[in-house]
Parts: sequence; structure tokens; C-alpha cells
Amino acid sequence: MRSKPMMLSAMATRVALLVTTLFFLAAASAATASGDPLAKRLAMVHTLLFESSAAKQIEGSDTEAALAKRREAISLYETAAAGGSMETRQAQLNQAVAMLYEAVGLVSDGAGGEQKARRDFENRQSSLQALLSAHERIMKEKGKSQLHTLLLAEIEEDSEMAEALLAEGQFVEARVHLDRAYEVTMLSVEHARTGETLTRELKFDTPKDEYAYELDRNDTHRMLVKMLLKEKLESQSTQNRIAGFMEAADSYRDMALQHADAGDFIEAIDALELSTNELVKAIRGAGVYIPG
Amino acid sequence: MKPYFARMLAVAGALVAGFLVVVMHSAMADENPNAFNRLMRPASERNAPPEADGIHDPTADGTLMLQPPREAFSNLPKSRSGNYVDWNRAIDDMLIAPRSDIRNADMNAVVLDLNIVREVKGSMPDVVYPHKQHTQWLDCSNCHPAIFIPMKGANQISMASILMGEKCGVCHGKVAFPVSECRRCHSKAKPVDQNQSGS
Amino acid sequence: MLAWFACLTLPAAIVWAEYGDIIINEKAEREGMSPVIFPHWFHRVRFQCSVCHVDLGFKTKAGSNYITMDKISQGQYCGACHNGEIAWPPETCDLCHSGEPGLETGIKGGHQTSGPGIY
Ligand code: HEC
Ligand code: HEC
Ligand code: HEC
Repeated sequence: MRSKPMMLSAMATRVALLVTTLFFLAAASAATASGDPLAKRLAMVHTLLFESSAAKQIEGSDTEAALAKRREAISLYETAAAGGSMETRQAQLNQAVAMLYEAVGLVSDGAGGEQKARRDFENRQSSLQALLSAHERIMKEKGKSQLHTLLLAEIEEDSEMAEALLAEGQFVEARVHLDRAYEVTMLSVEHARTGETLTRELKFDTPKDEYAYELDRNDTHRMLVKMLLKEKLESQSTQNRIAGFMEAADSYRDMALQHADAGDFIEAIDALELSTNELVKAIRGAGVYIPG
Repeated sequence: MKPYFARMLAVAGALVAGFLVVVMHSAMADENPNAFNRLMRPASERNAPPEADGIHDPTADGTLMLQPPREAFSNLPKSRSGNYVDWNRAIDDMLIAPRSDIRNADMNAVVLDLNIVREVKGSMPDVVYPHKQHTQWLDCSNCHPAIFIPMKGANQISMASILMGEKCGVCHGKVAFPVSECRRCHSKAKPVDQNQSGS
Repeated sequence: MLAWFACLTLPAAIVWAEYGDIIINEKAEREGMSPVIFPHWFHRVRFQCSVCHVDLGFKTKAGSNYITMDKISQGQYCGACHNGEIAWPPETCDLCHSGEPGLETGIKGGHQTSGPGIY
């Protein structure tokens, strides 16, 4: 059984909601009675015709065909704004929009498009290079370096073709060739690697590398203290409880940095591990359990 | 004059009623300090429809024409976070078939079945990165070389960088499951004797 | 190593809100239009990420693409599909320009990527 005050207030809420809905309905119908139901649409089309990037581009050009098309679009808009049946006005507005798009097509032919096509091309190219160097390594690992050389010959043909086409401004065709080179490489990598599991072991070439890893781990824990304990740290008693750990963590870290400066990475790693342990204790001390 | 007056009245009425709702609501909230879920939002409040999600303009005609996410997600497998959809299972179970080509619905993208295991210090399980689930959505050039250099040992990936929205964090936590789902990545248990090493 | 931090129940400090809608308001509101809301989840049901983020060259960082209506009408960005052929044409403004005024560019509920502005 719900308590009586709760039932009452739930009822009151419903009544209030009903009242709101009714008033909103009234407001909506009042708006349609007084205003034009197409007012918003008109305003949007107006923005497109007069203020948008497209409008400005046409205005700034001296292509008469485009300017004429825009004028035509504007007069359609004005007809629609003046009145008529809903359906005709809507059609007129749609046509005005389509016309403006056509007009901008006449002036911005390739503008920006060329830049973008070039950028997309270069991005694809750098991916191809990355894949190719991976391919070379994989083939070496598998004792199939010849296969790499063979593939390279095929790819170079397509790559060069792509570059030549790009230089002529034939972006679409250039991409076709580049994409083909890319796909061949990707398929070959896929073929060589499928079903495998590679393990990146936690082995460090030098103590310096391990030191960098430990530094990252320490940074991460510091971020976690901030993220996990944000609200808890508003309480003074929690702050007091973890203050000791945080101080210890800081001083171990300072020690680590000094050791590292002196080139003693082994000592630095030990100190960082101690520092991270203190951060773990701080997080746990504030009541959030995390594994070590 | 008349429509103007009607609108004024309506607006005033709406204001009063809105005020009532707020007052009643806070009264109710006061009444039950022991609501079962205090912080977790109930499932019924997730993936709100456009007109109630706080970002769409509820008065725009377009808003009402948009598909509410809950409708789209109704037949998709659930997950615990993000938009509560398990997108990989949705593909595996063939409930969705996202195109790999803008026009051609039948074209199949190359899927690379290659796992990369990354060992980590401490008692946390090692990380398995499955190329398969990623290449069902992505192409090599989404990640290589701009986010990850495709070479063993070339990528330092720390949780700090992921939390900052780099590396895995470019997508995870934005459009793919967030890093709060630890076990989905840290999925490979260590041999027991190794657990002692590290911190 | 460290992803465990929220294997535990999430502390209230971090709220992983739902995400999937991207607000694009670099120019729209300044030019008198409502902000654009791009339903990312809706599109991933229909297309793989690579279609947009490789083939069409959308950079994976909210607000980093400098999209304009003349580019859209020329078949770039949204206009590669919203052309009346693959999807409805860019005539119904408020299907895209459907945001509340004052919204900031970014993914809803998430945080802005600080990652590289690449594909
Ligand atoms: C397919 C989605 C879509 C549709 C439909 C659409 N727009 Fe846009 N529009 C965008 C996007 C995306 C931007 C970029 C927003 C930003 O960066 O702030 C934009 C930007 C704009 C801008 C500012 C930049 C510029 O080009 O001047 C204006 C003005 C604009 N739109 C007007 C319109 C009008 C008017 C319509 C209807 C005739 C419309 N849009 C329909 C997606 C759309
Ligand atoms: C790769 C193709 C593609 C691109 C690029 C694209 N869209 Fe779409 N979009 C679609 C398709 C397909 C639909 C579904 C059309 C239909 O329902 O007929 C759609 C639908 C939509 C919808 C309506 C969703 C609903 O609830 O019905 C919106 C809003 C939208 N797109 C906005 C955008 C914006 C903004 C952009 C650019 C930032 C964009 N789209 C880029 C293909 C695309
Ligand atoms: C229909 C096109 C489309 C598809 C498919 C698509 N995206 Fe996006 N994505 C976009 C657009 C548009 C943006 C916003 C770009 C902008 O604001 O300039 C975006 C933004 C992003 C961002 C940046 C978010 C942020 O917080 O800055 C990420 C990450 C991303 N997408 C990843 C993905 C992944 C992963 C997939 C596949 C599961 C995917 N996208 C599928 C169009 C798409």
C-alpha cells in the first residue's frame, strides 16, 4: 500500500501534467491561428537564400547563370511567402531550395572539393605506406621476402598511375588506382596473418623503457585519484585519511625523477613502483577497491 | 487582438502548471529517501526519444519525424553501457548489416582475424585486442598509421592516454563501449605464478 | 593493467551517459539555423564506420570537418548520401537542424576527443 500523502501528491502531479498539456495545446492552436504554419520553413529557406555559405558563394561570383538561378529561387520564395494553398507553397519552397543548390553547383564547381579530394588521397597514401612496411616485415618473418618484392612491383604500377592521374586533377580515377594498390596489400596481409595471435610481451629492452612504462602507470593512477575520488575528497576526514599516502606517493615519485636524472633507471623504477603502490592505498583508503 | 490574448493566457497557464509540476515533483522526491535506485537511472529512462532527450528542439517538426532510438534498439542485443546495445553481436547475429560500400549493399569488407595480446603489469588480466571485431566495422586506414603504427612494440598505450581520448580512447567511451567495461579488454588471465610480480 | 577502475560499481563522479548523437554547431547557429544533430547510432546500423571515416573523409572528431551547405549540396560530407538517391535530399532542413539553441559541438554525454584529428 502506498502511503496517503504519496498517493495524493502523485494525483496532484497527474492533474498538473494534464493542465500543462491542455495549456500547451491551447498555446499551439493559438499560434497556428495567429501565425503562418509555414513560418519556420520560410525562415529557414530565407537563411539558405540570403545568409548561407551557398548564398554567399553565388553572390561573390560573377557567373550570370548562377546569379539568375538564385534570383529565380528568391522570387519563388517570395511567391510562397505571399500566400496560397499549403501544398503549392510547400512545393514552391522545395523548388527554391533545389534551385539554390543548382546555382551553387554552377559556381563552386570543384571549389574545396579539390582540396578535400587531395587530403583524402594523401591520407589513403600514408595508410598504404604503413601497410606496405608491415607487409615487408611480415614477409621477412615468414621467409617470403620474394613475395613482398613481387607485390611491390604490382603496387608501384598502380601507385604511379594514381599519382599521375592526381596531377591531372582526375581525383576519382586516381583514387580507384590507389585503392586497388591498397586492397592488394591489405589482402596479402590478411592472408599471411589470419588466425594468428601475436603477443606483445612485457619485456623491456632497457631499464629506461621500463621506467617510461612505470611513469605512465603512475600518471594513470594519479588521474584515477582525481576521477574516482572527486566527490569523496570533498570530505575533510577522507582528505586526512589519504593525505599520508599522497605525500608518500609524491616523495617516492620525486625520488624516482632524481634517480632518472642521474641515469639510474633501476632505482627509479623501484621508487615509481613504491609511489604507485601508495596511490593504490590512497584510492582504497578512500573506499574504492582497485586491484594492485 | 484575440489570438494574441489567447496565446498570453496559454503561456501564463503553462507557466503556472509547470510550476505545480516542479513543486509536486520535488515534494515527491522528498518523500522517498529510500528509493531503490538512487543514482543509477532506471532502464526506462535510457535512450530517450528525440523530443525528450534534452538536445532536440521538441517544437521543431523535424524532431517528431526522427526515429526514437529505443525503437531501433528494440530487437538488438543488449549491453551494459554506452547506448546499451551490443553492436558486435548485432552484426554476428545478422540483425544489422551495415554496408561497407556506400552504394553496394552486397559488397563484403576484408575481415582480419588476428589477435594481439598485450601483457600488463600487476594482477590485472592481459589485454586481447581482436582485429576481427574491429575490421567488421573499420578499415585498416581508420587506425593505421594515424592512431597506431602497425608494428610490434611501436605503440605505447597507457590507460592515462585512453582516458584522455587518445589511442583506444578515440572511439571507446565515445561511440564504442567505454573503458569502465574493463573485462571486455582485460580478458586473458595470467599464469598463476606471474601474479606475484609487479605491484 | 589499470582498466579495472570501474569494474567496481561506478562512483557517482563519472557518469557514462548514453551516447550516439553528435551535435554539430560550429556555424549553424551563428548563421541563424538551429544546431545540427547527427544521429551516429542511426547511421552505424546502416553503414560501416569506414564508409564515412575513410571513403567520405569525415575526421573522427566532432566539429573538425567544416561542413557547409554548399559542400553538402555538392555531394560532399552528408551530401554524399543525402542527395535524393541514397537518402532523402537536404531540403527538409529541420531533420538535421533539430537542436535546441545554445548547444555546443560534441558527442552527447561523452567528452570531446583530444585524440588526433584523423580519420
Ligand atoms: C543532411 C543534413 C542537413 C540538412 C537536411 C540541412 N543541413 Fe544545413 N547544415 C548541415 C550541417 C552538418 C551543417 C554544419 C553545421 C555547423 O558546422 O555548425 C549545416 C550548416 C548550415 C548552415 C551554416 C553554414 C552554411 O552553409 O552557411 C546554414 C545556413 C544551413 N545549414 C542551412 C540549411 C537550410 C536552410 C537547410 C534546408 C533547406 C539545411 N541547412 C538542411 C546539415 C544539414
Ligand atoms: C553514408 C551515407 C550517409 C551519410 C554520409 C549521412 N547520412 Fe544521414 N542518413 C543516411 C540514410 C541511408 C538515412 C536513412 C534515410 C531514410 O530513412 O530514408 C539517413 C538518415 C538521416 C537522418 C534521419 C534519421 C531518422 O531518424 O530517420 C538524419 C537526421 C541524418 N541522416 C542526418 C545526417 C547528417 C547531419 C549527416 C552529415 C553530418 C548525414 N546524415 C550523413 C545516410 C547517410
Ligand atoms: C554515416 C556516416 C558515419 C558512420 C557510418 C560512422 N560515423 Fe563516426 N562520425 C560521423 C560524423 C558526421 C561525425 C562528426 C564529425 C564532425 O562533427 O565533424 C562522427 C564522429 C565520430 C567520432 C568523434 C566523436 C567525438 O567525440 O569527437 C568518432 C570517434 C567516430 N565517429 C567513430 C565512428 C565509429 C567507430 C564508427 C563505426 C562504428 C563510425 N564512427 C561510423 C559519421 C559517421
